[in-house]
Amino acid sequence: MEKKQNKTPKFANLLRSHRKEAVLSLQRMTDQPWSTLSTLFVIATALLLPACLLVLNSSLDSAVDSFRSTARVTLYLEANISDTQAQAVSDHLLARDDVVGVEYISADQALREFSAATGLRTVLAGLGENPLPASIVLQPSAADSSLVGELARYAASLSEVDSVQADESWIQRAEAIASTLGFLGQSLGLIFALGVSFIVGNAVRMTVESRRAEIKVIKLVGGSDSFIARPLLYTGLWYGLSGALLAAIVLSILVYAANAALQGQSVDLLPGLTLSGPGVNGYFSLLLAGAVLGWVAARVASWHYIRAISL
Amino acid sequence: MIAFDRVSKRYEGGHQALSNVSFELGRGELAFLTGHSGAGKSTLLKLVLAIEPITGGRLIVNNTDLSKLSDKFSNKRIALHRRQIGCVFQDHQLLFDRSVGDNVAVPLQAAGFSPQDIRKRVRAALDKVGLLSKEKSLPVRLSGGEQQRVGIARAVVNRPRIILADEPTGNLDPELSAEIMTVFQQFQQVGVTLLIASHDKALITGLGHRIIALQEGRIIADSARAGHSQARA
Ligand SMILES: Nc1ncnc2c1ncn2[C@@H]1O[C@H](COP(=O)(O)OP(=O)(O)O)[C@@H](O)[C@H]1O
Ligand SMILES: [Mg+2]
Repeated sequence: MEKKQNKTPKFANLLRSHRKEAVLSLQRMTDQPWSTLSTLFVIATALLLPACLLVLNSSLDSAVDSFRSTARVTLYLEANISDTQAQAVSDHLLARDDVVGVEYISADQALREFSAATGLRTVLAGLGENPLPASIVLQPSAADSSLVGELARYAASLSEVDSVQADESWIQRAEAIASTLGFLGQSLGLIFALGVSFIVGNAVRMTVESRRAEIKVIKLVGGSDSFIARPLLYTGLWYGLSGALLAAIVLSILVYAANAALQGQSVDLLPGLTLSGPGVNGYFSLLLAGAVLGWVAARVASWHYIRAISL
Repeated sequence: MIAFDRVSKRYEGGHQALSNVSFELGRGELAFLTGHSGAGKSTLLKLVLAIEPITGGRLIVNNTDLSKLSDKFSNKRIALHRRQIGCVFQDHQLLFDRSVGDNVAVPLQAAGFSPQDIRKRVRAALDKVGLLSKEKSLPVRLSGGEQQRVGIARAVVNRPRIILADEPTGNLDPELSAEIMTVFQQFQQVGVTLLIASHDKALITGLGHRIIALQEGRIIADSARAGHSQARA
């Protein structure tokens, strides 16, 4: 008898075994294309929904950001303010850090523009007195664009200013929607991650069931549970990864189609709103999440189901 | 190699399958385990293979104390223990979706051997049972006797110190059974310890090996200790 009964598996052998199991488990999946595809489809759907919500969230966020940078605050001045006084107010506001531009529009200028735009020149001329107020249009600095509300409140406190119009509430609404979408995306992500785990666990269970005889023999001749589980872990990994890949493909198509639909709209939902895909990092996270989820779920399930096989 | 010391086994359902079983099997010894169906032969082999934990006494196999198996032994240690033991079954437990060679290779793959080593050892094991020419065949194309010999090749491919066989000739005619026994005797001659359960008295008497008889979970006769055993039971 040979003395060296239990050759410790060398690292190279272990690596080779891993590579072999990775390929074999992929082959087993393609052996049953329909059941594999239906499982993949369910996994992809479960990953797709939260991913869509997160994409919407981040697109809305960046639309809000870019909208802010184009936002203007309009100050309507009191009727008795002279051009000189108005200029002084303009200069005072321009000196602020959060203002990068001012434009003074006198009452006369406003009337000219209005009548040119509407063609109601004779009607307006008939009024005798100019009903339009002079105004100052402020361009908030992009860096401080989140402080538009504060700027508007300050401007309103000036005695020369009658009323202020800022697009603040709008932005707040869009922000609220964005954060709701983000919350939904994250919570659904967690719930669906659990769902994906169950799907992978079930696929592992079926594989264990179909290989019951083989697993029994391997156990009897001294195969450890981790050796038996190895191909199942790869099965889980492949399911998670290819489910995520499918989700990523569908997601990119959806983003493209949604943008085409947005551009066809006659009204802008939100100026600057285009759906941006999750980007390289986003797609990478999606694939990573799928792979890790599949691996972990397969590990838990295989541990459970392999132990349950009695000899 | 194998030492039973007042071992008992009670199954979880409450059935007492073995009571107060004591015997020792030295290196290179071949013993038959006989008894009617239900006597506890398979149970005894399962204890040696650490498939079932013992519930009383002390059991040492290949210097490993299996007495507190269920709690103290990790899955990995049980696997290592089983790699020292080759086992042959009545229904030979071959996998019909792969070739004879691939069947014999399973224990080596489980132990992490390299493909070159596996190929070499598989061919050596098949050669020993006279089936080298069938390496690429599927098990279904083999006769019952040949299938059992593949089972033996798989049991010995890892060069175990101990071989356990549970009714290895149960499905074979007398001529093939004798052939299988000859194969086992050859392994004994190179120092392997063998414990073979069989209820086929006609086959095993006359071979000149030790016979341990079980009845309702107790040893009622042990040819190595003729004279004492009756009194002990
Ligand atoms: N897993 C089990 N659970 C409960 N009882 C069992 C189990 N396996 C075997 N037995 C019982 O233990 C006794 C011995 O069985 P076994 O060892 O298979 O005998 P043999 O192999 O000699 O026919 C029988 O009465 C059988 O019913
Ligand atoms: Mg039996």
